[in-house]
Amino acid sequence: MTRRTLRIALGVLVVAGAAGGGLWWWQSRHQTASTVPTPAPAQVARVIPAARISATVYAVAPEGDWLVPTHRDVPLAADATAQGREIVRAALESAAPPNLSPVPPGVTLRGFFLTATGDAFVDLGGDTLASYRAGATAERLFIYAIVHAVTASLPTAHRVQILVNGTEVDTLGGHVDLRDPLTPDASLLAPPASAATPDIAAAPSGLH
Amino acid sequence: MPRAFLILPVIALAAGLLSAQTAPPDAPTVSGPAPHPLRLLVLDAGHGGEDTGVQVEGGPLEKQLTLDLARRLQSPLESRLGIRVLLTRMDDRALTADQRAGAANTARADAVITVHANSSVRPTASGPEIFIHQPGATALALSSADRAADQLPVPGGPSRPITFLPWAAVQGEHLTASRALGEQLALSLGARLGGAPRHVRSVPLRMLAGVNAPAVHLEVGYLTNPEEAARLVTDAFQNQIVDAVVEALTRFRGDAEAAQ
Repeated sequence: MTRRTLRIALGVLVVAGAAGGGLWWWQSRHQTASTVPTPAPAQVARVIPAARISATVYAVAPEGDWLVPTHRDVPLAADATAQGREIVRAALESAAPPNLSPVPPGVTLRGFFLTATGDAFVDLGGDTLASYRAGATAERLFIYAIVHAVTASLPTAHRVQILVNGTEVDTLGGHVDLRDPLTPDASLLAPPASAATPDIAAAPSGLH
Repeated sequence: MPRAFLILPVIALAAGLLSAQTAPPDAPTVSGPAPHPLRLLVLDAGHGGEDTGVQVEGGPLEKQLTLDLARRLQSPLESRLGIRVLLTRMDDRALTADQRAGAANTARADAVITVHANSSVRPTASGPEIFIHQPGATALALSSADRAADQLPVPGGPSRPITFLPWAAVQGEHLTASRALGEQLALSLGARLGGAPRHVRSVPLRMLAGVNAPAVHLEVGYLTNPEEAARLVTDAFQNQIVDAVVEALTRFRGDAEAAQ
């Protein structure tokens, strides 16, 4: 074997090693990125990894225009405001059949704030709301599903003020008055005989 | 319960209707006599203009259906009840909630019915729904004791007491009568249209909040139910609604007169 041949072989080995190492590095990075979303800095500080709680959110009963409580696992947050954010996000998700979702598709949560006096501000967004058209029944169930979810799962929240794109609005679809914060409306809840239908396997409240 | 009439809001809202501006946030009202017997009814056709209301593919537009119904109700109510009936809109135009309430207040309506068609996430939902206003936090915060009492000078006579009420709180003066009107409508619509008995539900309603008279929000049926949507546009069904409203208002007027 000549010196020239040795040099070529060494060069091939170096190139192959570099390519293999690069491929391994890329694959490990790609797998990490696809399975573990990189949280925003604020979320890192305020959501406790792995710990989850069962939040009560509300869906429309298949047999009548009333709200039924369901349970969703949400991340445990470090404070009430961050927890409220997680609860409203869960409340905006689609309900599992046979329940129906009171929230139109495309509605998003822009922000959530909680005052010391127990007023929660839920700032909704999404293109759906710009052209929201509904009757009083659908509009009422949509709004109160959020009001009930917040007040049922956050003991410090007593009233809910709905905002749209960061500003106060009169109504969503021309009916329910949103100028004042709303309190839960017990008349919208299913009669006791209609037991809660869980969207997912019902879990006891608290850490698990 | 005092029947209040408006002074500044009358002027402000008459101008507001012309200039498409909203009503003032606070409106003074003057304490008046007991509720008037039913002589003037204001019918409000919900939505209008760019605000189509409920729109289901292949079905009628809510704004057109409510206008059709309001027009259809006007003559029979006038002829059979002997009352004046005014509509907040006679064509396809957008009105704000305050403009609608202001029109009723300016006309000094004895009762107001706002006509709508409903929607539900349940395609099988059907039947009329009746709502009355539930005062919000602002209105509730203003108890009777907090209301400013003042004297209004009257030309050629003694001054008279005046009570200031925020615009958003004025419907709170009429809730008992509004519920009575709603219950009569529920009774008549249930009897005429069938189906399960309807309850009068209390909801914070933007338009009714500023109405200075007994007022009801009537959802005549569900446009999200294809069968009901098809029925709602028929003459037969709309005539049944007319008969039910006439019947309900006849009883409501009788009760009001008996209470005088």
